[in-house]
Amino acid sequence: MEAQAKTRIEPSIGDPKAIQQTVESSPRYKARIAGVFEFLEGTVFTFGQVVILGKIVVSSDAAATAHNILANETLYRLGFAATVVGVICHIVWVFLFFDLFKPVSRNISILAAFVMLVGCAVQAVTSLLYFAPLLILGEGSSLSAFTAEQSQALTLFFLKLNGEAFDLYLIFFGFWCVLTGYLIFRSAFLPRILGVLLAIDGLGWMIFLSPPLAIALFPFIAIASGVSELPLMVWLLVRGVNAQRWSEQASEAGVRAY
Amino acid sequence: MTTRTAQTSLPIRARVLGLVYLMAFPIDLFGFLYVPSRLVVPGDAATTASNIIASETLFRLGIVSILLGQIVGLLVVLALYKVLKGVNNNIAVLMVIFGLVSVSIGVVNEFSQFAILLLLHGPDNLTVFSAAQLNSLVPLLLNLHNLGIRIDEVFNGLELFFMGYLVFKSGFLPRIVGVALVIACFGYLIQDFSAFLFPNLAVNVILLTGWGELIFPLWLLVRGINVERWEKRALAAA
Repeated sequence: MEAQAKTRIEPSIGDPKAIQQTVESSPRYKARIAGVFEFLEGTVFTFGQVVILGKIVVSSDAAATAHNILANETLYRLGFAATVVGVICHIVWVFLFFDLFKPVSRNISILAAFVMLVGCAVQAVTSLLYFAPLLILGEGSSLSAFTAEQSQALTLFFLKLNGEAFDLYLIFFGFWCVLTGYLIFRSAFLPRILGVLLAIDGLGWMIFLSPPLAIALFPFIAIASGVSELPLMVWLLVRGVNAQRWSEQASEAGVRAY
Repeated sequence: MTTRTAQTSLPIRARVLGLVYLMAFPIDLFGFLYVPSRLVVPGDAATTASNIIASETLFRLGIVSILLGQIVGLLVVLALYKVLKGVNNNIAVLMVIFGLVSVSIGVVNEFSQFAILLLLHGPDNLTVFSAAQLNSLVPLLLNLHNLGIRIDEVFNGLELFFMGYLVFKSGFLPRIVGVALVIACFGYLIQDFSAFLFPNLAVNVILLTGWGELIFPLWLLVRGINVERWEKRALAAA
């Protein structure tokens, strides 16, 4: 151990490169970047899954939905691309949250990261279902043996499947919120109330284990989401984390601050 | 004693990694290119369907080889993590994370090829569809499979970006290999996002940009890594 400590390269004070590195890797900086990616992911994913689909899908009318997709094909493709970019942003902030909460509990933060990575893979699969209508309706579609009505019905079927897959993702997201809420509560560097709210929010999303119940309770789930996820994101963006307490907790836990 | 073992075995491990990494190429080419080239006739759903039924074993071998390729990819990224984590542990973790998501997408994506077999072996409830209708669903599922490959490539590409960065910064592998890997990443991103957004553009750059993915494993196999510099790096990071 001692030999190892000796070989460690100590950055000399005043070395601009070393200072630069400290600034870039400080917990506060990481927390802010995590907030930025959380915001980006939320924005582009909502744009693709909620705004664009909300404009295009007429839930009881397959013909109108198909017509809307073809009439706004570029917009629809943009919505799809946004969901893929959203998954990328999501992976980045999963990693940053993992890194941030390692000092609180290495095991729980690893578990949270694994849960959310499975969620990211599910999100990517929803993108696939999102795109399927273009393969059915677009130029060069193979489905000439189907009537227009049948193709349109198939389109709506894939969009509903996309919705189901998204609900599945929400369950993983909910579980992640519960775990992360616990980590925030136990952390010394973020306000405990944010953790409590996030855990309650997570339990709300986990109601999607039973989609009909979740749809019935959706206003409450949405409120829980609004009063927990938004404040956390704003807190991370504006305040970051308490860097001094983070370092204290990190050295207690034996986590090396990079 | 343990350091001595590490010293003697590291070059061998790097070469084995290179070999395993290279093995992914024939496996992937078989599943992604050879099998479809034998079975899929673009624009002809009926012939494609009958080809798949007639050469079902080949079709299944294609699926299995793709799944095998994903397992190889998983082993490679975990082994690469051990080699590269001394350069920058955070970036190495990001490389692994993107690799894991890419593998998950790649595995789930084979559902659409299995769905083709389920359709063509028509359980009774599918008799409400005409044969022509069932056949025409085959190209749809193949297109869905291709789209899944493209989505997968985005994440695989970003994995290559972090890999290239680490190779570039490592000092124990040539910088040019790192650059080639980053170029491969941008090749995938350009090709896939242009396909998502501008389907009529048909940008095809992978043959120009993808060389890093071949050069890196070849380098690992033929030249290995500079062990002296690797150990210096590992000690500095410990």
